[in-house]
Amino acid sequence: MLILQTLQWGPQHGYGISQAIRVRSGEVLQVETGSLYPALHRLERQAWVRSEWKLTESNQRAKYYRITATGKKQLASDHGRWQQMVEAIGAIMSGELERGEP
Amino acid sequence: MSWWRFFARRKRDLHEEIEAHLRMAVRDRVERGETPGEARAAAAKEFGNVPLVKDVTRETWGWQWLESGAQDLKYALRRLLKSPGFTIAAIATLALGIGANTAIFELLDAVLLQSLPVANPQELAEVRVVDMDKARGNYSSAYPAVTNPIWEKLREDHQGFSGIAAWTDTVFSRDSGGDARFANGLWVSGDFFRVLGVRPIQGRVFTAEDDRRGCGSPGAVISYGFWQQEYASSLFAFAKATSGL
Repeated sequence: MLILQTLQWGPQHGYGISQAIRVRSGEVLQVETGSLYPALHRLERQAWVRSEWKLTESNQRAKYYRITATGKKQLASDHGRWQQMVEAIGAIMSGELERGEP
Repeated sequence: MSWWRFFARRKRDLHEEIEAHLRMAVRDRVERGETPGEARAAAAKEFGNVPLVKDVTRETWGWQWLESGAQDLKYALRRLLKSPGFTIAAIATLALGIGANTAIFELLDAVLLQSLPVANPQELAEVRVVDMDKARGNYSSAYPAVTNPIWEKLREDHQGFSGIAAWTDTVFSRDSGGDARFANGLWVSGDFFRVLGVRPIQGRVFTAEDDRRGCGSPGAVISYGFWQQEYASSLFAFAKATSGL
């Protein structure tokens, strides 16, 4: 979901994605390359992203990933599920706190 | 092989992708003021185990089993080449085993599985006497022999069969002037060949008309194999054969 969200902001290469996630999360989340590349290749297999070789601003060849229409749909549904999950967990945790008070 | 080239290209692609990642990481670090040496070391450390990342990424392609299968095959071949004595023994054992099985199967196939060389082998049935009280004849051998009156009664009055034939085995003396030899043969009823649907290549076979007392036709029907073996496929042989028997 995080990778797809990163690609919402425009095509990006693997290094760019890991940097973007790190910076946007305020240095909290660090995507391991051992998870990032398998995930990217799996997303491509599922046709949620497409890849092509392009030159970076510094004139280097890199493989850019671009989110597809089905990928965007998937992201929307994942986002919805995530929101539900956060709310559900939030509700449980706040209930805990209220009962925990004297 | 195009799929092999496709395979190699995707592997090279992944390699370049990871190389590009490391190059960009080093470049960023250098721009932030690290020395190239430090930057390279730090980027490599941050990236982690390159071959491992490649492996787990390739696993998502779904042909890891093919790759590891090929590796296993290569390893097996290498080990076999290293111990030629064992390899030869193993191959010889397999060859002998397969050969023996094939030979036995061919024998079984010829004896049991191939159908009889008659028109409708699936329609053949063997008639046996059930009520042994009234049975007359010889019932001690594998194929019971009934007396002629019983056979004639059966021939005239059978139901459920399109035809009925009788036979008994015998040995003829095949005397071709000087060297007398035995030849295995059958005495058959007149309808024998019609019932089985066997037609002659040359001449004629017996018919129901021949099946009477004193028919005066001292003829014989010989098999194709017997003709080839004993008469060298000669057409002239027929006259001699019939007079000889």
